[in-house]
Amino acid sequence: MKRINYNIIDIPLEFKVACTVYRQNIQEVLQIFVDHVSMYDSLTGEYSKGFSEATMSISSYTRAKVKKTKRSKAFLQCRDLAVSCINSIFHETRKPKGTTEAKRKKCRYFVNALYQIMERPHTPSIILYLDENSPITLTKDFCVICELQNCYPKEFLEYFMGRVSIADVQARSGLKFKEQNFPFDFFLEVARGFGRPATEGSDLTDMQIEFYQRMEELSLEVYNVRDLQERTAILRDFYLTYHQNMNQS
Amino acid sequence: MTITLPEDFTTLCSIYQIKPDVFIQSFVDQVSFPHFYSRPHAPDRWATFFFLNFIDVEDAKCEVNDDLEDEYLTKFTDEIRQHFYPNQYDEAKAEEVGRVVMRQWMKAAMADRAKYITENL
Repeated sequence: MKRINYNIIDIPLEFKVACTVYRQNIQEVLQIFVDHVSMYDSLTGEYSKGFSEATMSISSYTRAKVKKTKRSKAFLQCRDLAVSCINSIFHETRKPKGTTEAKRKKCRYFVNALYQIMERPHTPSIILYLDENSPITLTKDFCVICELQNCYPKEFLEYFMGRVSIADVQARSGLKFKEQNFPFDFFLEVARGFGRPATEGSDLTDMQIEFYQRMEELSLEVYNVRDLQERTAILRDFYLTYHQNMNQS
Repeated sequence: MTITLPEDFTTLCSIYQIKPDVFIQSFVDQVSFPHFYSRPHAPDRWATFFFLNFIDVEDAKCEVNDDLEDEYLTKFTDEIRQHFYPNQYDEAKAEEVGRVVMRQWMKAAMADRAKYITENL
């Protein structure tokens, strides 16, 4: 049986297509995602743009994966201390006073403590690779959450990317099969500029302009196709063709 | 039926010397599923796109029986497609066939609505 290399991330085709369509850099999107997964946001009830979507993406995965709660291996030897840190974070989220920024900053102290005391069976290295030249740096929050959930970073990242398919989302929403999709919501926010300083957009080529016009039309035009699979296939095909054309040069 | 003509619209009509009723008539003339779906790239497709967008975003302003919609749109699509595949694609025939299905759908929708009302009497 082929041994899984947990340090190398597989990028699904649909995600590559989405990044081409929305003109995003894959490595950048993933790094911004990692940067916004946070312990504070996993315990708070309030909404923070970006942080909530990223963190809830992770909980969508763990809720689906974990049928029976298992003890975290990483915290077996220091359970009491870990519980105390987590309680402190929880307590911080409940404080009525103070800005979210300040509270999140304060929780870094507890996250650092968790990071120090835990074993790291799932996160031996804080650098992951998309390929030889594209590293992703994990944050302490991200590592702590991995270890608490007994999951590899690769799992979280591949789940995130797996949910980002423009065709799937458009086909469903048109047929009113709405379902929660935090990864896609997060991806759209990043595409709109979240997570980095504003930069001037580059000029679009004629082909791109034509594509974006056609994109709007097609999502309306497929209204008469009521079968989800068929509709998804039509949209997928359309986006894939564009992705292939853009990557030919 | 009354329509109010807003300033931006009447301004354009005045500048381009377009009679508002002529424009509005042209628009409604082009809202058509049979015509649109038998020739999706025709230059007169924009009015139907407007309609498709309207039903997408204006949830509160329209209501449709979903089951009938699925059934008849699927039938509509299948019927029109049958005219794609023989060597000569006949747009006019496809449109005609599509219109027949649309009439059937309307009949079914009316019957469904009447049933709903009489059931509650």
